[in-house]
Amino acid sequence: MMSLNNGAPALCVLICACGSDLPNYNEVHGLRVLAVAASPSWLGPGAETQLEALVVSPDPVQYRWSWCPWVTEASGNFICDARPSTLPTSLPSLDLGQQATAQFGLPTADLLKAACLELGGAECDLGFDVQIRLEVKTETDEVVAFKTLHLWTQPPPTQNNPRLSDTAWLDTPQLQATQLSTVTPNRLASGLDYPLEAGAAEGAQDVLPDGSSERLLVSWFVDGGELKYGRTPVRGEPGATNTWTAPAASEAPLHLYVVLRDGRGGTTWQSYAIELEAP
Amino acid sequence: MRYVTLIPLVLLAMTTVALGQALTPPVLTEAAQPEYPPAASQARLDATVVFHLDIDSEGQVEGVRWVQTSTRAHVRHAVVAPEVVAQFQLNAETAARRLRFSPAQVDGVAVPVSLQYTFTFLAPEAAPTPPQVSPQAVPPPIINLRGVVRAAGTRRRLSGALVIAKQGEEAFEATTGPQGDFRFFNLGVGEWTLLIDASGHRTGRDKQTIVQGELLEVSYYLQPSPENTYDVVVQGERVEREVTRRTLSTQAAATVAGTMGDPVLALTDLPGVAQAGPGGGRPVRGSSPQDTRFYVEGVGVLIDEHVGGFRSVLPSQMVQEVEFYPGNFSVKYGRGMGGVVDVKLKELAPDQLHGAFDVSLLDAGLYLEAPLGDKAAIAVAGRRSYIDVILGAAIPEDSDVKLTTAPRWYDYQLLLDWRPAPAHQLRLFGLGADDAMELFFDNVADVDPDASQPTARQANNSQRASLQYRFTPSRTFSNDLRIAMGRDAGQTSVFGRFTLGFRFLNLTLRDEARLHLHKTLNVTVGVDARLEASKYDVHAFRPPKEGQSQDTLPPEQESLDAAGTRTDPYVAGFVEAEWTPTQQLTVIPGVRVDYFGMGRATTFDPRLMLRYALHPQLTLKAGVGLVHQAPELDEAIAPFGNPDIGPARALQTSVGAKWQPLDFLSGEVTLFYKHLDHLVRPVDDADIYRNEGRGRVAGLEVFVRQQLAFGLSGWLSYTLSRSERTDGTSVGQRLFDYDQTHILSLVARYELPANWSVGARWRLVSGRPVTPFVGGVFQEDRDAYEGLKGAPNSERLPMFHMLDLRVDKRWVFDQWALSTYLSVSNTYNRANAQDISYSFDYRQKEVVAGLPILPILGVTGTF
Repeated sequence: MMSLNNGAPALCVLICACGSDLPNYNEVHGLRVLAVAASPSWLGPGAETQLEALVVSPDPVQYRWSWCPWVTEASGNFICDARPSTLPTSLPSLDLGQQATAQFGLPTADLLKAACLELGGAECDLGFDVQIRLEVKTETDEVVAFKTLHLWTQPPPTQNNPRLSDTAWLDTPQLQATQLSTVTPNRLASGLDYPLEAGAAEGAQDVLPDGSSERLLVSWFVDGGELKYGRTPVRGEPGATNTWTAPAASEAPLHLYVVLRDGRGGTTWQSYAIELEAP
Repeated sequence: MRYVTLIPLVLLAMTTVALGQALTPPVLTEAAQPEYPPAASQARLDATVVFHLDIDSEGQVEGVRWVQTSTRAHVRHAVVAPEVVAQFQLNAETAARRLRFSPAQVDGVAVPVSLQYTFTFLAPEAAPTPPQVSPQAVPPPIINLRGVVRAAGTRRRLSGALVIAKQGEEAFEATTGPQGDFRFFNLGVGEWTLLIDASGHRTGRDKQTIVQGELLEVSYYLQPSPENTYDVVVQGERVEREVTRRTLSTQAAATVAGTMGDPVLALTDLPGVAQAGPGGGRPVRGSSPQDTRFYVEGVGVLIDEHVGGFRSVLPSQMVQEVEFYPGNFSVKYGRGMGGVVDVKLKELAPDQLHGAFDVSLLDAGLYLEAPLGDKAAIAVAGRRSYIDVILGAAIPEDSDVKLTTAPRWYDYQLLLDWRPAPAHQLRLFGLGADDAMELFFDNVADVDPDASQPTARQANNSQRASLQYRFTPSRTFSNDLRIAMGRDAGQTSVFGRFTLGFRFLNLTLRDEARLHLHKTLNVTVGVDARLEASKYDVHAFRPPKEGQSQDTLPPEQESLDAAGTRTDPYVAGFVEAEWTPTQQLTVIPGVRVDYFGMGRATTFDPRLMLRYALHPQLTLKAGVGLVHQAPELDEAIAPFGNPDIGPARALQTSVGAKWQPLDFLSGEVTLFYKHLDHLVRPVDDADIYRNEGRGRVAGLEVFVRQQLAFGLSGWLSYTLSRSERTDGTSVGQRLFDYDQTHILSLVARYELPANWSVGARWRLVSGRPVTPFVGGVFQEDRDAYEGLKGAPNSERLPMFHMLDLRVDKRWVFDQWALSTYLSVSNTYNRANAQDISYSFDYRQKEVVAGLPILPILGVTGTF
């Protein structure tokens, strides 16, 4: 029989994760892929989406985009054993190029549905999932990233990528919000705590068929200083909040990356440069 | 000789009686009177000669071991020649061999026993005359001193204690009866010195003044000697039948360092038991913890330990001993390919209200037992933890994780014994246990982006009620019937992403009839039926199976839902013979037929055990047999598993030898081999699971044990083993999850003067295998990395070793006893790896350490 303690390992996973000395997910050092976006994020017959990634690297990087006509799993170590010769001819080539961005286009509904059936899809009237693969390389490092795309065999429901409002830091004594610039470096005093706010731009949160709204989640990344949280949900005004503690000193500019996801495949981001000065 | 009295003293060593079993003591049916030595007449010597008698299962005296002879001369300044003393002994021994008893019985079966027997010679009044039995010749006795002898600390009445009253050259003896009482007749007025001597206790000494015409009543409380404890009256051991059966008495485990005195927890230190993983339990001989069955008096119990493994669900005061079978067990046990643990509860026989309390930094417990008339007794117990208060205070206010309900447990028990007649015994046992733990995460999105709730919670509740009726109408037949009901419920919820809700209702019926067909043949026939009604409501991913690692919650898309009820009958019949063709050889063939409701299969398990006493100190043993085990519930219900999955099978074999050179010292070596097939294995198709796994476990167990002697007790256990499995034909051999090459435990306790004792436990265990992650990929949809798994169980955790220490100090008062202890777990603060934790991108890893040094101060009291 199933043991009543079968939940224990799950709890252990959580407890064991506390107090670790391992690197923090939200602190960026070296080559990282922080997000992969498809615009549009849901793809219908005859449509084309642009794929791009938020890549951070101290060195020049090489990109290689490809896709798999099904979703690979951890149990198979994410190996896609699809062969170009057996792929339905109506579908794009498995190799999507080596640029920083890539295009992925779909055939007409009939051809797409036929391809779905040829691939053994179970519910081809609704479409099927495929997987985008991005390999990012430097001379010394490599990161592989995956993103799942749902290919609709009929016009897809509304699904927009979320949009970020400008991130601001809150000057607590004056209760004054200061927008961070995405264009020029932001000059902030070293060693201080900066309450941060990031939100979805108006109208960027899709309404679901049941009347509820998408659940938006902001992921925060920095390459210096310390964040209080790694991810925070967007809850109305003022949106997602966090606190960044600036380091005591840093000669090189620092960066803050804010990634917004809607939980349904929609992703967007903003990057900010920060220069520290004495308080 | 005026007369000779025959005083059977106390049943001292019932070498064939299992603690907790119903013993019908032998009764003297044919007395024998020793001749009064004529040479002693002149000095008018009284004498007492004490023997240990070995009574065989026919009631005949098989062995006579002299214990002591004491004499008292009525003639002042008489010289007692050694030859005269020897003559008393010789004559008494001759008579002892002519005694006849009704056989002692255990559960209606005649068994050999040992008892202490005293012959008392009283000198003739005048010149030597031929001895004759003439009670009428004794002057009418006038009792002028009487009393009761009890054990200090427990107030237990001590029977068989020797009380000597001395006044000048004159001395008289009395022996306490079953109620610890003694009487002296016709003591002269004046001051008398009293010496009180009882086995396992320090000699008491007192002075009392006898006044003409007055009856003096006294009570004596004897301090226990270091070799004694407070709550164990009879230390005995059932004759071993199984190839490997290891017992831990409450007494032996009481002060084992690191176990809080809990015999169930001390099982970890026996051969064959491996170090558990994060989920706890007892992996035995390479099998997973779920394969070991836990029983209380033959009734299955699902949850035997509280959360964290600090306590079992049973109070040690209610436990007589814990039997552990790592394999090749009797056909009365089944449905588990690992080991069997059967807890034997204490046989209640309180003469008055007794109890115990235990207060430590972890929890507090209370135990009470009392007689209910002459034929019944009751015991109740309860325990509640408050570790939640301590942990709650230890976690900083600004911590990201808070224990809203820290590990919290409580349990309660009731035991009722009623023996309306010697042939009938009824026993009612109730058990309840509850555990809960809840974590609150300040910002749960950091831990799991898919989380919808900030809490992770686990709660279990388990209850059992069993009624046992033991019927022993004759020495050739006995029957043991048990009916039990149980309810186990569990609820686990992790961030709203993972919810497990279970409720198991079960009804158990066990009946064992034992027939003594011939002097050399006993047969046991039985039925073991269990009806299990399960209700489940699950939203979870498939739990990782053997060889599959898991370090994060899988993506929400992999979650499955299942809700429903099912009722599964498990019915087994078994028959076992115990044939002893010669005194040296015991052959125990048996067969068990099981029907598994889950798996819908009928299985046939033949088993055979052999024992051969090559020498009185050396016994050879061997066993072979099949065991089947039902699949786990999740493996048999859709959409998690395969409703057509069947039971797995193990062929268990073992050979061994036990050598007991001294009463208190034994050594045992066992070689075992276990072949496993029809193991459940995950497959990458619609079946999800199939019975295609195979495995093998081979090893060596060494167990050297010293019962308390010279102040020292303890044991050494060592297991060398290798356990491997293969899934299908295309996958090579790999290690089982619980393969641990070396497992060494050293347990020792030493009694110091002034009721101090010190204990230590040191364990050295090979790290268990783990499936490593060899890299990771970034999953945009989850905003997280996912690990690339290496070969299953291709790495090991670092070697585990830990030293636990314990110091006890006892204060024994007349009416009660107080002990305080300091138990220090992980004394040298070793960061033992419980698991491996990986960095977010699986490029770095570190060990997840177990508990650091943990001192626990406690106080126990008994009365």
